Amino acid sequence: MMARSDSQREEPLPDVEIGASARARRLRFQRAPRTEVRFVSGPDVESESGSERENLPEEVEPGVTYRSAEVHWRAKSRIVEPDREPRQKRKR
Amino acid sequence: MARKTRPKSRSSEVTRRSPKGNSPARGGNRKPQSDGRSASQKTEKYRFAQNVEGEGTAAEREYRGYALSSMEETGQDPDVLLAVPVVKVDKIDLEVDDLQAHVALKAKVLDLVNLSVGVDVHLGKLKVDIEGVEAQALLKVRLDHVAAIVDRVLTTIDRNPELVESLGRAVEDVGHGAGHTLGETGEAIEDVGEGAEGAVGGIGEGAGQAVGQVGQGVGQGVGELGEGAGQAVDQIGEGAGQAVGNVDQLAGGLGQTVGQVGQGAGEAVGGLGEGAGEAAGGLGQAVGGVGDTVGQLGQGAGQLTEGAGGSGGDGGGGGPAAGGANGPAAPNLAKEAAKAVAKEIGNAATDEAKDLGLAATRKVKELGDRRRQRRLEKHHATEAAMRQASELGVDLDEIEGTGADGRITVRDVQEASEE
Repeated sequence: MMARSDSQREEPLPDVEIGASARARRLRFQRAPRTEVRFVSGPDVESESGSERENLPEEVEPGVTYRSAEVHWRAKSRIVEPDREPRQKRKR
Repeated sequence: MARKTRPKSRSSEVTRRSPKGNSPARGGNRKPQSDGRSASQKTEKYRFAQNVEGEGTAAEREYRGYALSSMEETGQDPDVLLAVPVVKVDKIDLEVDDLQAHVALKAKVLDLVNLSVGVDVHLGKLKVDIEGVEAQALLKVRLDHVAAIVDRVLTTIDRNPELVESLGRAVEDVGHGAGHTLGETGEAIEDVGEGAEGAVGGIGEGAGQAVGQVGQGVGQGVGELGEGAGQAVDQIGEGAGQAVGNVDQLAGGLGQTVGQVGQGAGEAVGGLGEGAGEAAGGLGQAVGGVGDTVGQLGQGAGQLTEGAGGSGGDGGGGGPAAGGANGPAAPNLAKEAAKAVAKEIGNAATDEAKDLGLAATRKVKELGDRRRQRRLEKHHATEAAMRQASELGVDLDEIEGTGADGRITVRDVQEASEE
């Protein structure tokens, strides 16, 4: 059990966390991207992933120019110990 | 940092990574900054209009805040931090085909616990033109949580050594495999004997006897191993001791014998906790030794078969040596020679098996002594009290000893059990 500052936190820190941010003055997709995010888990994990966007729709359209677009993406995952109540926060 | 309101998305759409093995920028003008200046220190030409305000660009401040967020909250760095601070590219035409990124933290304790946590990101086909790009990426891995879980597992194993029976079964499988191989070797030798009918038939018998002696020798070795392991494991748990004791009883056939060596050794090794790999390795060598012995047996039989073929005058050797059985003098000569060789091989195999047993016994006893000493030092209890605690399932950590110098006695354990 994590005995350190985790106990002071409402939400424990993830074991693995990956994030990326990108912004572009001008952005145009010639082909719509196909993406997939899958969490590697065993035996049980609580995971979360999501993105924040600005000037960029959920599904981009090929050929359209987007200006001043921003994307902040983050995924995190933490192993759930068997004697703890799992907190399901998986968004997808 | 003042951040604009952004609608939070449920999707995970974008990842920015170097496209490994994919088509790189085509016709692009890729200019990663490498002169040591931050973006805000560069001339206006290199600034992207919306990012120039105060100290550092928006991207730099974003990264700084992101990178330091966990440290501010916990005061500690992550154990692994992979950062791509800020990459700026004036213009890039990017084409990606089937990009996969896999980030995972894995921890395994024997075959008992297998932890894995991570993310797989897959980006199919993508073709995009971008101007004025700023991007940053960060990977953080924290090991404390996983280390704590592994520590708990090891503590549990230490207190409940019977949990590692699975390890014993794994070693048993190896034993069965070795036994099966040895059995096949015996069958092959027997086939040689049958193929040569009367003339070389003695080889089969001799070989059979020799293999039998190997089995007995191994059986004795295992018996000693069982005793040694039983003594060593006695302090750990009666169940394990009995299981190892069964090795002695069941060590009949050669395949079973080796299999039980695996099981007994696995249990003993599991009970002993540390040094499992070392002991298991020793047993692997021991089983290999038996294999070598039988291999020599097969070789000897093969040579003998060749000799029988030659005496028949037909020029046959090896497998076709059955033809040599036609020679009038071959049967008796081959039979006597086979008996003599088989006897020698049998004796050698028996000696080797005994050595195997003694070596295994010594190893198990040594590990048992070490373990017993550690437990005595840790719990400050009498051996009888520790045995009793193990039988009654009482945690010695919870008992306050009433013996000399506060040593935990059998009575202390019994009283704790009744409470």
